[in-house]
Amino acid sequence: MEILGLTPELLVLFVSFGFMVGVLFGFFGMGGAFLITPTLLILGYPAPVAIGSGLAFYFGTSVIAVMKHYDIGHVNYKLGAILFVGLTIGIEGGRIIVFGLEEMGIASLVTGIAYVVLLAGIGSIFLRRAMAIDDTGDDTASEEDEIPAVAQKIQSYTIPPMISLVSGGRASLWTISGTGGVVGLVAGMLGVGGGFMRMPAIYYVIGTPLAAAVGTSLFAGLFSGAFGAFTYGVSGSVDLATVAVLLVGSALGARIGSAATTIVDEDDVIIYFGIMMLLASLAIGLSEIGNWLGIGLIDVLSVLLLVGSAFFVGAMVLYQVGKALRRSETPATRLVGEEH
Amino acid sequence: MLELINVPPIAQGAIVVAAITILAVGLYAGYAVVERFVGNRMLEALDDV
Repeated sequence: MEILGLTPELLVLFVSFGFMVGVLFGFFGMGGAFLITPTLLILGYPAPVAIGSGLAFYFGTSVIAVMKHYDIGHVNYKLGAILFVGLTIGIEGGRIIVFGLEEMGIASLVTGIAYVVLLAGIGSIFLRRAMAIDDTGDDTASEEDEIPAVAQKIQSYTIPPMISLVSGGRASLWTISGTGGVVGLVAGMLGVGGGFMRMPAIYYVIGTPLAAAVGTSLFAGLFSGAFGAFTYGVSGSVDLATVAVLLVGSALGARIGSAATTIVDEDDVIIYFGIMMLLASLAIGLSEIGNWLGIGLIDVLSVLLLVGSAFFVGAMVLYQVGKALRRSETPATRLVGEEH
Repeated sequence: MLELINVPPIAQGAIVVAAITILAVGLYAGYAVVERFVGNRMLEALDDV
């Protein structure tokens, strides 16, 4: 028996996995597509379908994020529009590369290796941050509204046409569209939203204050996500049923995850998040080795490792919520009050 | 895999974007209503204690 073309086992797996990914990424403020796409790859989805479905999932989470932050106010629309053009060209370029690699029969291998590097990189950054917190007793990340020095240096190269930024600075059209193009290329090739690259790129390369970078990233991400879903949809490479089922779980999990940020200290669980990313990287690496050796059991182990680590860290966040609520005198008031 | 049969490619892309938008908006609104309902019940229960 199949529901929406999915077996009951897959249906339960996707709803619960979507829920845990939602909890995690609602808590850590990310979209989560970079766990969804590799999971679909390991489960045997063709690379274009895994990537297209990952981008479509990202688009769904973007719609929800924008609805939640519609009053954020910190959006540089002109910058967002130029970025969107660059992102669109980049995503289309990425899609063409993926289909080219698919014709050569190496799309899964190349995207798998790229994911091993990407997830290991993100995991290392989070682990480093966790260790910095342990050393200093505080997160040393600065929240300054100033334009970083590296961005000021880039802005000093005036290659016309120059665009005035709302923050007062100016950036070359080529810097903005080039940044969008590179981020879009990675997003289109790997089926990720690219928010983890887009926001730092807007801040460090283009040079806008942090608050404007977050809002503009969200704005550009929504439209580039829509374009990514559209362009892979045109190729028939989006599994709507899988995306829908994942979104059902993720939308609920994201609400709980974002509510949990007011109750649980991020510093308490950040190390687990870094470890989870490293385990995810290991899982994809194992899966590639399993495919190469033709040992199916390794693939099963990879899925267990990838999904299991996400469940473990999601459960850790929920456990910390439960612990904090038990300590709290008026738990319901805090949970409900956060959303108003 | 759920497939859209006999649908032109451009329409397939548009259907994907439209379907995900509607689903995401619906999920957001639906969970918000449930959360408010459950939250109010919890507050009422606390008032009763």
